[in-house]
Amino acid sequence: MNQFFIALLRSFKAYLILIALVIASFMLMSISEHESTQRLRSLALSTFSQVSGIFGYVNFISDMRSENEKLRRRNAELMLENNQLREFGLENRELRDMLAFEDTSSYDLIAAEVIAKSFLADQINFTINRGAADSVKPGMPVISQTGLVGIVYTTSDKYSIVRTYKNVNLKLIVKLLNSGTPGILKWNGTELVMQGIPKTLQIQKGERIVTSEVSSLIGINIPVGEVARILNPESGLFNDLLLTPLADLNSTDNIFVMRMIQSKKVDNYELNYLNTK
Amino acid sequence: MNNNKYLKYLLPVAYLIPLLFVQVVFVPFISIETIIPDLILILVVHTAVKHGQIPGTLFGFGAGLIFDLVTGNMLASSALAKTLAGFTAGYFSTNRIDINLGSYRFIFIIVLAAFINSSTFALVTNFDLNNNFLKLIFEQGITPALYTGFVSAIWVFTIPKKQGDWLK
Repeated sequence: MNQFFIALLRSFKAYLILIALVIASFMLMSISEHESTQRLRSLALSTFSQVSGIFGYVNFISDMRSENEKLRRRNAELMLENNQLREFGLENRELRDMLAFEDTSSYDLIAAEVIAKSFLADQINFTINRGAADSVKPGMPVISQTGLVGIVYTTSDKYSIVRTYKNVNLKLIVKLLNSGTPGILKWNGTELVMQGIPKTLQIQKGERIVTSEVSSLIGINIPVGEVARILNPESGLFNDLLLTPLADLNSTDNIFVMRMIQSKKVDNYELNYLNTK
Repeated sequence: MNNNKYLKYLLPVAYLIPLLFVQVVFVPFISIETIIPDLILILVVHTAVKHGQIPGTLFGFGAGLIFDLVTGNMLASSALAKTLAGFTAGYFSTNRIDINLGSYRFIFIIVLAAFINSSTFALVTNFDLNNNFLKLIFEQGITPALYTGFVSAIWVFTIPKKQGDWLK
């Protein structure tokens, strides 16, 4: 009997190993967001980024870096300011006061360099050279001089991983700037779309999309993209919009983390949205 | 003798580390939109064809897991994809490895394994019943596979081979 099993094991050894590894993969997937996994990820990220950071520096001309950084910072600040001015022009000031909107006239930006990019089929993540030691925290918005890049996903002491908007796991509440109509921003693997727009709404091509104040992850208006076209005008209860993103991830090397202080409530509860698929 | 046996299995691991850096630091510069070649997969397939199905499967799992850890992907998503790719590539492992490693056949194996790798990864990380699966597989399975195959073709046709080396 034993010999039979041994012979069976030998015959199907490769298949058994495959099944064991597939099961192990699914088990590991289920603990992907577990605290101990995050610690392990943080350790791996820290070690890996130290070396990849050295490689990353090869890509920059060191003398021009600081000047570039200043200009990009100024650009990013102007982009945010410009966006805010648009907002002011469209929204009723009195209503804003009544709603006790926070004065967001200045933002604290942490300049960072992208030292590694992970391009996979339906998710692009960046590794940046700023981490917990620079007061970068998970959930902080990441922008370039043109618009939203993504959200800090996890941090180690000196490095962080950014989930970009081209990541199927990142969903954000955004709104049409002109009408204020909210929708859900989602990367469906190939296109950036805004879902849940009422059929009756008149939408102009090129209308700007910004993150919404009601988002638990990004509570201010950051430009994300522009409407390219309506995806399903003749079917379904809602329209989906195809967006042209403002920030080009392929050419993005310098980014800014917005040092936004998360409320205790956000830290404790709402960031769970970031950590679930 | 025994040391040599283990050493040959450790060699792909030694290649893996620098290749990981190249994959995440330099390969994005040659991306077409969001499509990039998967150099780690080429190493997994090479290992599977050269050393057999079981080493290829195990190496695929390990390489994918490390890749997931350092890039912030869902843990074990790449590991699963590369395990299946390594297992599939292992079917092409024969005693005459020169047939499969030094010729256009290697490109075919790469494209096949890359297709399985990309499709599995896309299905695992982007599973949504509202998605058009054919479109998903075409856009996220076939195109990266062809790009990876193209890069492997450069490798196959530009690296000079000494006659008989593979036959030893």
